[in-house]
Amino acid sequence: MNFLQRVTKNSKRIMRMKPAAMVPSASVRKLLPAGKWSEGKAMERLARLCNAVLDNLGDQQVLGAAYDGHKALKFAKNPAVWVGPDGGKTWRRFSAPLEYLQLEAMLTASPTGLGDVRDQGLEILDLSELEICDWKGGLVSPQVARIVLLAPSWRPSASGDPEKYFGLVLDFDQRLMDAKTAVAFMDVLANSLLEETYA
Amino acid sequence: MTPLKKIPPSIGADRLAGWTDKRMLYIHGFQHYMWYPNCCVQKNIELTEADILRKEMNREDPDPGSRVTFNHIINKAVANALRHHILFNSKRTWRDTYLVYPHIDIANVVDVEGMATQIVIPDADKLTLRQVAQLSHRLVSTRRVTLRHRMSRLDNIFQTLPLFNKLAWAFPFVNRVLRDYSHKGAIEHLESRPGSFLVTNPGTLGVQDCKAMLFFGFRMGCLRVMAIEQKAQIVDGKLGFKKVLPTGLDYDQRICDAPAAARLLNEIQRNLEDPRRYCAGPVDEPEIGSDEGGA
Repeated sequence: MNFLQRVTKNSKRIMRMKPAAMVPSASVRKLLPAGKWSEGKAMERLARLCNAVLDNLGDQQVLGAAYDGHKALKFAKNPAVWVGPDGGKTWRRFSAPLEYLQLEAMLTASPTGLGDVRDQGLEILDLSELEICDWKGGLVSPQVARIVLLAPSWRPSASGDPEKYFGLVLDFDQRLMDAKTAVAFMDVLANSLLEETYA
Repeated sequence: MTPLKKIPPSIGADRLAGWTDKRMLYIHGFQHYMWYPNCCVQKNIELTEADILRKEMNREDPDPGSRVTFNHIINKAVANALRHHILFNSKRTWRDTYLVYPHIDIANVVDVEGMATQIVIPDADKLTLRQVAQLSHRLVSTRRVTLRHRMSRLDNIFQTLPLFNKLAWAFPFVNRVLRDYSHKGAIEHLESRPGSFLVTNPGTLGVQDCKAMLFFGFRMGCLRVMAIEQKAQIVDGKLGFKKVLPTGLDYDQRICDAPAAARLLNEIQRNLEDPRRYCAGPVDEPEIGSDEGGA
């Protein structure tokens, strides 16, 4: 192959290449005051968050979908979540509300494994125990959205007293959802966490 | 032969037109396939101890050429932390593998002559804090001189040869091919030491939050340092405020997950919050062949 052939081949290859499976993702973050939902162990808190997401995912089923090939979506039959405590070392899927003991048992069943291949279901990543206070995430196909729980911080409340707040981030695909809908979903999720009582 | 036009000393409209042409060179160089998914974890790091150390060291040696700043302490802390997290001191290659660099070379983005450029501090983990500061000052002043010279030469060429502007898009590809074909170029490329990890400090420009975009073939990680903020904290049951440094670590999502990045960020935090212990002391060189080994 001579010089000219090589240059031509290289340029053709470069032009033919498609963008990687990156999803044009955006994030919204919300501060959630600590309360009954955050009491107890970290796993309890995570279980309550998962249950609240499962309760509210029915209205925004696109968040629980997954890409199936190029720009084709596959929806889950029932709302489901993928849970990754400890920053996503282990991932497990479930679609029925669980108590934290059940969740703990499920997650510790294969502690060294990377979990199953993630398809349909909203990802919930717990970074609160790693003291991470902010997160900006990119999504890769087949992911469509991801919820991240961040470490708590102290902030002055409306009355001026110090109050503990957790950060909650939603990464979402901009092609499927706009920021207004994402914020509305986060509001509904936050309200149900603060008002409802989850096991 | 047409004499070269004299470059106006100030940045005028004609000079800005030349700048846009030069920008096109970089824009054509970046392709979509070079992008890769990156995530970012962020922490707030307390700076009280680093501030005390900085002031002490500057009192000992007030020479401006060896003045220690926060940037130097951050560089040293990052280099120390990378010794234990070598995965982040790597780059992705064309063969879908990761190349871990044998040296920890910290690249810094600096603002020289109104243009962002990089300086590289080689083997930053083996230098003392004072040496890092001295080297950094020297590199910045050298870069200022060489960059000014190079940009004025480019300006001359762009102004005298309009055809040069039209062909500017081809330079990255031609350079790449020539480098592959030229033995000398290949040797130079192997011997050159690009920074293996990037530290950028947009906080000096007052930036409070941002997101870095990493590109193929460069680095696996980038540490962003933002403007110092006042954060609330509880002291003896009362709400108080403390100065913190918001710091974010951008990393390639395909190579590692959040806990690995969080561990590196935690180690950087440990180094920065106790700099007297981890950054200021003499550099310990592990003996080759010793039982303890290196980091």
